[in-house]
Amino acid sequence: MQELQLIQELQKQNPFVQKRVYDRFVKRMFRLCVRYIKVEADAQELLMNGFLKFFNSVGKLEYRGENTIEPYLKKLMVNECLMFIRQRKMNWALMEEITDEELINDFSAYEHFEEEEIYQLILKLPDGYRTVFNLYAIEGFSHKEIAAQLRISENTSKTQLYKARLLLQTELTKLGYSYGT
Amino acid sequence: MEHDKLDNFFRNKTGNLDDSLPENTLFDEQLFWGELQKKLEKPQPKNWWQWAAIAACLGGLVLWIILAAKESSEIPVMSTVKPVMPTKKEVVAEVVVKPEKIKLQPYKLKKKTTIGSDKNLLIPVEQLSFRVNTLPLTVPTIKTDTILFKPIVVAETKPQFRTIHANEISNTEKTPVPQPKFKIRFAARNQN
Repeated sequence: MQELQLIQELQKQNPFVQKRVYDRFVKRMFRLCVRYIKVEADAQELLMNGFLKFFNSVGKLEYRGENTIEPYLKKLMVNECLMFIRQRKMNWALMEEITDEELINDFSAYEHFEEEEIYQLILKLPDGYRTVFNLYAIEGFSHKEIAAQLRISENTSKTQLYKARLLLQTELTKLGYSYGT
Repeated sequence: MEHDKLDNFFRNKTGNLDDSLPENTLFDEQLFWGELQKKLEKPQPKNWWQWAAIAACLGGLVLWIILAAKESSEIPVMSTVKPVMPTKKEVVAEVVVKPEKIKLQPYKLKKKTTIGSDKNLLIPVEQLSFRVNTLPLTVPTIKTDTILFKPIVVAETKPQFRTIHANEISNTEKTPVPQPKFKIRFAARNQN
């Protein structure tokens, strides 16, 4: 079924199509929520809210080509996660023990790493680092947007991202060593 | 530049994640769908602006009712209409008028419904009173209105009591009941 038909059926509140769309995106969206929130119970709650909002607001969704549903759903989920993060106090403290290292230039050596391992590396990041890294590197937000969304300064966002990158690189190097041995 | 490479590396890796759940997860999709479906079937709670709109409508309705009630109570219908007291000569003329003209019920109803919003309606009421002038039977139409705004206050007559002494009551109780004399006479005649 084409996305246009899917959207039309979703707008009619067709339960079969709702289930179909749910099956198609639930795992990806669950991963997304866990990537932001980490605690599965909270992630499930946000996933529920996100899907409810999606099915109830799909009437407003305009067809923009074959990749319309996923970005919209993703946006809803990210917004839900950000709302949750804003409600609880995020620790923006920096980890001082991280030493500045030279950034990796060539990632070809790491290409054979499993996606799941890379995903787990992101989950290991502290909350503040992980949130900013997710928003900047994965979703493509600017520092200005991140600062507005998380109600922090742009400098805080930049620092958090920098530290997140350093930590990820360190972890990636460690993983590389473990792969080599 | 190196930053972008790192970001791209992580973006691509997370984007390529196959549609599988993370390791060691307790998430059950089917159970979750069941819960989601239940919530979808429930009517969604209205947004704040919907509640605000409903509240505004109700408030407007209540205000309109209050204002309408106030206006209807403030109409000076009878203050302008002079009660016409028929003279003796006019009464003589009234006898001549046929009782068919008394049927003014539809007119009366129309005036009553529009009185609440328009003050100009006082004029037709006065005209009616002119007609009434010749007819003593049409007077009740005005009277009904006067009764509404000027209720007749009936003064209660106070019960009159007389203060008496307790001895007076006891004296009245002791006084023997006078026996009719004719009974005795009647009995005597029977014996004879």
